[in-house]
Amino acid sequence: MIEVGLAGQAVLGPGLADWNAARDVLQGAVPYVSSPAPEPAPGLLPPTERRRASAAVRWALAAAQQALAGHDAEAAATVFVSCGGDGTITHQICEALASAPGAVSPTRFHNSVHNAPAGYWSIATRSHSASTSLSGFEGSFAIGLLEAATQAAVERCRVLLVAYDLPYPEPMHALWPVAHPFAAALLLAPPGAGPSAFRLALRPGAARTAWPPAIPPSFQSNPAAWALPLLALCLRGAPAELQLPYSAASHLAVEVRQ
Amino acid sequence: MPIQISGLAIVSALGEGTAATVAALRDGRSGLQPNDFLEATLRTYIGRVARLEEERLPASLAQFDCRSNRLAQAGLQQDGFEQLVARAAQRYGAHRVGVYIGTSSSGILEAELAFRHRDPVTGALPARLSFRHTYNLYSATDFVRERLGLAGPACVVSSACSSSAKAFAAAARAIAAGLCDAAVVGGVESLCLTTLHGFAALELLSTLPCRPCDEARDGISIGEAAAYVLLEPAHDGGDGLALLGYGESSDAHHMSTPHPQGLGAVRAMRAALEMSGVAPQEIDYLNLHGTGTRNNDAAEDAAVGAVFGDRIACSATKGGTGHTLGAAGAVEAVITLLALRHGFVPGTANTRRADPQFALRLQLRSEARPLARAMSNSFGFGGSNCSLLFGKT
Repeated sequence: MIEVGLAGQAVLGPGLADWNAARDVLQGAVPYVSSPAPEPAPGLLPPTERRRASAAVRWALAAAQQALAGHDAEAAATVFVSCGGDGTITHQICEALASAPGAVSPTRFHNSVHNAPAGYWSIATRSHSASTSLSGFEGSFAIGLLEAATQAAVERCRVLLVAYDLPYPEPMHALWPVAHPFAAALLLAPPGAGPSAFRLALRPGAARTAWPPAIPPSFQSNPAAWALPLLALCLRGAPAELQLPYSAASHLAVEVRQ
Repeated sequence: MPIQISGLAIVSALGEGTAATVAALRDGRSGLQPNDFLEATLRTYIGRVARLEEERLPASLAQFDCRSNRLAQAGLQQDGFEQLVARAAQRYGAHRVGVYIGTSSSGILEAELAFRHRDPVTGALPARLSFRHTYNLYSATDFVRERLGLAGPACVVSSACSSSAKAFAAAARAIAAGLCDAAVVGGVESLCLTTLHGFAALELLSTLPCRPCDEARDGISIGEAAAYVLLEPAHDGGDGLALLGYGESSDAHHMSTPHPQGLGAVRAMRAALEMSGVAPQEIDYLNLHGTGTRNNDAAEDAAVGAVFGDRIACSATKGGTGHTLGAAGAVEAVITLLALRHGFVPGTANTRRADPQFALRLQLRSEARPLARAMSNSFGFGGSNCSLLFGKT
């Protein structure tokens, strides 16, 4: 059992422009309204890096910045988690390799690493803190949450968790049909840091979880969007429990305490 | 901390298993060969694992079939490792044993090759291609977890060339937090076209076998490897090897170039020393990240000088294995542990004359010498650094 506090959060997706908008939808104050995906600006990055930063980097950094608002970046370790990473770059590199391998772009290649958002984040915030970049499949969000909470508990530090996935372009989209881009960020801290705290435990078997009725089920195709059921529970203001998909063998049991 | 190392397994261009690896390291042999991977359009050297083309996955795991998972399996089958893991699963329960694998490319080769066979009308990829089982990064951990029948915490760490070193840190934390009682930690990286042509595009591939820290070094040689350790709390029956500490940091400098004075590397090494409660002068051997590029090696030299001065014996083993990228952290952790177990300082294969500008003391040839504590460095794109500290208990 690992216990961790929630000190800040962010959400970014089509129809969910930021945490305030997502909160209103999750609480049922306003209905979900489908809208084009936002295009986060790379404002945080130094000018030299802005034109190089891909959409995946911009989504991850926008969520990270929103969740960390008012806190010191240098003092927070980071955990970035994404199932598919940067599908646009993977697509571009695979296309180049299939036609003219010599044409692989050096910038695209160094941006293709799964930790590109982590690298850009540390450059943008001048943070030298520890950072890790993870991948899971449908359990990506729970995998990131468990690692970030473990780090906060063991290293006694603040940990910024950033989960993001963007739909791959065709033809790879057909093999992994993510319906919507989505990013979420949670600033985790030793318990007592915010109104909500989580107790996490890994349990055998598949997750039986309730999806927030206010959010279209099509978001479930995005592994990062599994942050939404957890954030929805945090808004209830009462203790609650849920299960999140983790791996083919186990699920993450989360107890939300208020 | 400390956490016992209960088992080691490795397959790389240096050979299959720890005995072959130790023999090659003692002889200063290089496993690098002229590039013959697929069409081999690039003039470079590679560290290739033999026989992967013949490796077969069990029928129940056939969906996972790709070069990366074949390599993962070839590694698991060395040194009785699977039996050791089975015993740990029996002792603690399968759901109490974690899997932490570092990789930077997993089975991306499958997607690269599939793009050559797109439907001429629709552009669709061949139907047999599986994202989940091959070219998704998580495939590496999912395959190892399924193959070993484990159900504990499991993730892929992918932070470029520090991936599998960071996997040690994540696994050690999971054990410290009581999330699991033991963990399979490793790195798996197979040859693919993205990394070969990507590093070629960055003009970082040597046309010769790489020569880390040599005055004439001119780039890396890419290798493939799988390497694993079994971590568990101290109990009787181990051979006295332990993970004493780890240090992680970010450069906050540039995406593909290290900080010139290696400030991120200094932080990582100092953090590992601090966590272990070990003084710099108590370290007997440092396995360098030592890739063979002009900038990487110079930055690491500056960092090593700042932390250790010129007292410590250093070597880089990528001249033997090639740079195994996401697997390099685990490969070099295993090499460092073998050096501790067998009492020798590995040499720096291919390197003839250490860069005279360097302060660090480069061990060119291997030398028998009892070692008590040793460190291994791993640094990656995005300024991602991790140092691991191992010792005898």
